[in-house]
Amino acid sequence: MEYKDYYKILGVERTATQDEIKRAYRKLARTYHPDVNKEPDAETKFKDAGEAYEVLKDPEKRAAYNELGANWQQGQQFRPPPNWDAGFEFSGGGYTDADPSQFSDFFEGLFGERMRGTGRGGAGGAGAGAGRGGYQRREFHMPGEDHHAKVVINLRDAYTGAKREITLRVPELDDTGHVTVKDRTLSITIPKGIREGQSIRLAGQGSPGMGKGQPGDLYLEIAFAPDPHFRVEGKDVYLDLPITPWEAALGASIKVPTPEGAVMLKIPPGSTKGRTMRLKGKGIPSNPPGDMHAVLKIETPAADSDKAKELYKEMERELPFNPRASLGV
Amino acid sequence: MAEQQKQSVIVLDEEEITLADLTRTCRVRTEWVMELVDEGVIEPRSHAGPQWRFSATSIVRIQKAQRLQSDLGVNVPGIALALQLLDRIDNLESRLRAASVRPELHDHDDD
Repeated sequence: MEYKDYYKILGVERTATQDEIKRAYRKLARTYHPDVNKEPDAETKFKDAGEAYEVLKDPEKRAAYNELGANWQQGQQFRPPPNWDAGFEFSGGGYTDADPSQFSDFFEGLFGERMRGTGRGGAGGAGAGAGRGGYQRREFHMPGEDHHAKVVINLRDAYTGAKREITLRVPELDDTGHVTVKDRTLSITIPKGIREGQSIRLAGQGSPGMGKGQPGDLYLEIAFAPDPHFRVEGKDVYLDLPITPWEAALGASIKVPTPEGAVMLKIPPGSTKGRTMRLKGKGIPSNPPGDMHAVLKIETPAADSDKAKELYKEMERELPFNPRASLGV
Repeated sequence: MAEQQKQSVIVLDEEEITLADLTRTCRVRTEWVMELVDEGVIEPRSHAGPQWRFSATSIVRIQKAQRLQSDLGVNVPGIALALQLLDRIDNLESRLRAASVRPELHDHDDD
């Protein structure tokens, strides 16, 4: 296992007071709380801070941790010395809110055994209540934990539906009453018509309950991978559609991509830049389905040949046109 | 091992649920849900009649509120403020994304 420098994680000195530790933790928790911070590593940082605080807020555990010495580096390979904690008494009182199954191997190696003995059998502490003797003889029922995960899909998947494999880490009791964390893989069908930010719920697919407790539920929050061409607002889809000046001026029937394949679109004569063409029902499927909006963008050909230059010159001569008239010049 | 998932994929959106469904699903006390309603964290779809009905998205919102309370020690008015600000950030971020896709377009006339 790797050594964890809990002081470094919280950004405090080894001599920090309990108040300083609390303040540092609170600040990190607010900054990296996964509901508040969408950065990909926020959840890891939040959990690390929680684990560090779990140890350092408790004077007994902090003292035991300090006993390991100050010479260890964050991430260094680590084995606890035998009887490293001799002489320390753990009351176990500090665990009530913590979810030890989320903590690192390092934490587990130092404090894990004790937690099994003293922890409560609370919801997060599926690991805590379960370990040592007596548990299975007692009538003990507890609903399983809910799980939350984020699923990233492509815009196309919203049109067609998608299958995804989700791996969950679920604490399970083995035959001897010990808790092991097992990976459970679910194959999930994401229904067609799903939209960014929506959640789906799979009843009963969270952690199994204990005793007669109901299993928890699985919640998946849907996010869309950024698309290079299409932009999504609710169930409507937007596309910047480049057209030529003559297509805009004279009208044309052109081929337009949609997330479910190309369609033909009629550009009316006299179209201008920024005009939005609505392709009814070509947005994300729903009842009623969303629309797709093609926003016209006029591209001019480069004057990179004599012929092209001649044509531009002819337009200059033949077409009286001042695009800056509205600017008063 | 992969288990085939056939049943009960519920999209939390169009669904409507009762107050009782909400408290059971989220495992919270009714009084706490009432507090959240009082602060405007969640809104019942219809106030009419004795039976409050909520959009199923309220489940996700309540779970968020629970996490903010247990992880950060925020009280209910604080949760309301935090969620309102988070909604605003979401909104601004999606507008920012939109603007970076087509920076020159801010308004468009619909047909």
